[in-house]
Amino acid sequence: MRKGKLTVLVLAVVFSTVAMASLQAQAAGKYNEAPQLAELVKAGKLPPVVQRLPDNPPVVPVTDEIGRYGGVWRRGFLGPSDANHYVRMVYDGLVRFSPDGSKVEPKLIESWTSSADFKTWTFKMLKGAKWSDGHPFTADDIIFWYKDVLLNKDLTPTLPKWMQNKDGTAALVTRTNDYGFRWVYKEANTTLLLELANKDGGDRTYAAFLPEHYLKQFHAAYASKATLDKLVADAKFKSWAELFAARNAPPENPDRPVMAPWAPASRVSDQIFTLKRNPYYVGVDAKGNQLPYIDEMRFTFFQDKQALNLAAIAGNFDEQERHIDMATYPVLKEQEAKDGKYRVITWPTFGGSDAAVVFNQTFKGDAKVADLLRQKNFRIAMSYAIDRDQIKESVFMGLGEPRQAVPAPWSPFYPGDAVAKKYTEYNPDEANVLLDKLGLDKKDSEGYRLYPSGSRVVVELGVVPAFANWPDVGQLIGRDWQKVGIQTIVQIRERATHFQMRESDDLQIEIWNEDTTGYPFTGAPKFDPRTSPGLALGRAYQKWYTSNGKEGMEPPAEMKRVTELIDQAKSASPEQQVKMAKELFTIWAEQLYEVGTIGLTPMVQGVVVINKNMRNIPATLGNDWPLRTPGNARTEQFYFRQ
Amino acid sequence: MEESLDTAPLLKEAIPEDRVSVASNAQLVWWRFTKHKPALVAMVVLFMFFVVLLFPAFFSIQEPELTDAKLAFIPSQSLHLFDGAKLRPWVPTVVGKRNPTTLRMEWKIDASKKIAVRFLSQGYPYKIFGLIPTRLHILGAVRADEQNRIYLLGTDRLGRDQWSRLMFATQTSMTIGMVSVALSIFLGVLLGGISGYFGGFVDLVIQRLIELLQSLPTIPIWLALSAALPRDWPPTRVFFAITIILALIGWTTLAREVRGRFLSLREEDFVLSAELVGCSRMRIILRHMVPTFSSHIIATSTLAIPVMIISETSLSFLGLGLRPPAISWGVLLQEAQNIQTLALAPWLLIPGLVVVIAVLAFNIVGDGLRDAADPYGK
Repeated sequence: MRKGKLTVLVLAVVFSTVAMASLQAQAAGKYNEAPQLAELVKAGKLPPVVQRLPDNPPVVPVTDEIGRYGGVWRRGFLGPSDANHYVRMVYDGLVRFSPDGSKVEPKLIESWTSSADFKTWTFKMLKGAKWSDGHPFTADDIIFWYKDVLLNKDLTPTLPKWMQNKDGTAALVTRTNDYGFRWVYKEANTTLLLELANKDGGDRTYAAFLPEHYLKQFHAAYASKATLDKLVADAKFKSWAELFAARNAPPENPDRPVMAPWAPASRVSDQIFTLKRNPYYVGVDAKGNQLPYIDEMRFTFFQDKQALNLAAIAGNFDEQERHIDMATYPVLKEQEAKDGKYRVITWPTFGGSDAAVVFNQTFKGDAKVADLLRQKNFRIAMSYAIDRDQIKESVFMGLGEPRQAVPAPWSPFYPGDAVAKKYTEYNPDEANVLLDKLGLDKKDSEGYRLYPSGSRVVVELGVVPAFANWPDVGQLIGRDWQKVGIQTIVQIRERATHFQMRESDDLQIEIWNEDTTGYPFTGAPKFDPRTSPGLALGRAYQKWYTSNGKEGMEPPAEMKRVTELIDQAKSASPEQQVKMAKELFTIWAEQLYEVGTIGLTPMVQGVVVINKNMRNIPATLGNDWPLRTPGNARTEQFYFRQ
Repeated sequence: MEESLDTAPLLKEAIPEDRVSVASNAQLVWWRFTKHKPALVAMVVLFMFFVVLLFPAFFSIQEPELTDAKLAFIPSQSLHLFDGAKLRPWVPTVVGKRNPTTLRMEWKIDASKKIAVRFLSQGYPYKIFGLIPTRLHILGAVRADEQNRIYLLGTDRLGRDQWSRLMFATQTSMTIGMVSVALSIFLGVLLGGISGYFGGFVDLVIQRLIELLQSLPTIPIWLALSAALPRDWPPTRVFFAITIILALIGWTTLAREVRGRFLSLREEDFVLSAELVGCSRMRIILRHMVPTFSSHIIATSTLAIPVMIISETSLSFLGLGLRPPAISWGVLLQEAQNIQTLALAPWLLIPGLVVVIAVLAFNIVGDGLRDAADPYGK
């Protein structure tokens, strides 16, 4: 995560031919396994470790030292809606992000090469790799996903952007042999690996590799109609597609084989959600010990976050960062010193802003307000009027720094301090000058600014109590804005209502976080107006894009340039991408559709409570949803010292 | 109850017989009430609450919304009246900064540096009843500047003065309690009166309605009604809506009592004579019947106010009632509802204590009034 360390840039590695993983671990036959598995082998219930591992098992680097087997990793979770918790912990992808988020590394495959024009990507799989039920993991499992899931209209109604050519047709995925497959785009594609690093079933989507041998029984193309109809009816689903999706989600279906280090042994809807060691996991450490080290992961259900935080304070978790409230940090730290059961570290967010103020460009209410929100100078004035140090001290406990919503300084896409800090100094005088110039120079008896027509300027700031104490941020900003004469109503709403209003363009200004700046060209970047749920940037713009300009509102040139850059970068060279990203973020900080306040705090799952006995947890770690934090810390090599 | 009802002989001992026999009903009630010492004390407490309700800004020391992140989580400063032997009120200075390891704001009381304070001092400007502009506050630093701030009950996470916020919260919560009880009384007396006086079909309908309302569990009903309030209403409108919701459910008990009274009084001779003289129905109800049990209504409603206050507090505490920037006891408690407060800033739970005091005071006064309401009672 340190700036200097990052000599290899995010994408540079992606392009070079990769053959890094299989640093031939040990001569075959010298592999070790967990004692509990050795016993099963002895009893004849499991094949020996050498048969379970692929011929060339990938070596997973350890953070500090080679570990020892055993132990239960206790964590807390919040029930079925918390299924992504599982996704983050196991990070079950063909490839994955490195701990610092700077590169993509192989996880379940051996290597890849790309053609010189980046149109063809050829992947080599691990010969002898197996699913958690012992069935071979082959190219058929990729082709099954491609042919029967991605190209099946019932399961995938609209082709995702990352699988499309420019003309809207699907990229071609073919099998080269039992242990090889190939991706062919019509244009150059330089973001495929970044996309694959997130095709792990997150957000209950389909991973880019599926257990064909298991899922066929739920697929209309393979199962007999009568059997399938009965299965659908028995499970009370409306269609076979629903049944298929449910059976495919490991947290909902422990029978579904996985490639992850741990496989579910109970369901995410249970009081205790348990993951047990996958005896067929492909990774080993440098000494040939099959991973994971830890036997079992046990998630205990908590009705609410406060109770979960109390359990964390009491030291009931072995490692937990998800759902730990940043405000709990002082209490945890004091307890750390008192009873020494655990230590507490922080993993700051990966750039952007942890409380960004988003100005809806297509607000459909009061025309005068809508017009004001579209004025760049109004947004600049509002940015100058915010006393960011107050927010930093009171809401973020002095952590982080005032910044616009741009990548972190250690990212290759960082546009420089001048851009990152633009308009972030507290300057109410300048704000007043700008507001006066906008024609809002008249004030009423209470000191609030008036429109030229004589009515009072009132704006609404919509806030949801999520992640950090955003209602407090909202109130502080509201007061700052009142000081420059803009009456601000801070509306605290619950998430669902807020999202609904966002979709219908009923929000004027909102507070949300900007956490996608590290990966501007893949996934669903929040500063892309086409992203949903994204931010309240302007749903009418989104409509304009989806209807090809027939409906909605045409975005201004700057916004169009942003989307253009995102699209072009997908087939640009790494050097070009860096240039494009810098242009993008310069536009972003300049136009201020989104005003950043404080960033680089451990707000989102960044306060980490660690059992003193748990080792191999990196002290610094890239922390972001695309990185599947803490999955990118390579959870399979965490271990208990005693 | 038996013992306290036995005060009629006591009255006779304390007050000469002839005075008792010619005293008005109100006087009798008052005499009886003064016998109830806890009620008298509670009355004084309530009186103080009412004064705060009327002039919250005067009793506040700083603007309730004034934030300063660098002054977060200051513990209470105690007010000292004497400096040595001289009457020169002061509060100790607090100094502190963020602990670099735990990130906690740590404050130490520096008793050597005293901040001289003055009663009836000049502070931030406000308007009494929204009309008369003034800067007068009950307490303030002699040299009112950044360095000399007074936090009698400490500050919250945003560096807001809890004492001042508590004053405004008192106004909100007490007003909600009393206005909703007033509305309940209106509804209760009106519907109860109609029901009891007319009887028959009207009575039947109203009584069934009361039964229906009473059979519904209150907390879920409050929750449902407040959840139905549009989330984007401004705090003032939510405030009135909450008041009305509380009143709509609170009137039933009173209506029952009023009806019972009417049923018994309807047969009394004085009602008959009023009818014979040709009084209108309204006049009979309002002029002749209601006064005979008005003291009862007062007692009942005094007992109803704390219920309303608790209801508002619980609703706001659950995040369904008032929301910031409105300040009420429930809102203050809701904001204190987190681990950080419990572990590091326990003084933010003081509003809970104030709720307890207010509710107890109302209950004790109500108890005293109920006993006194019927001075002839045995």
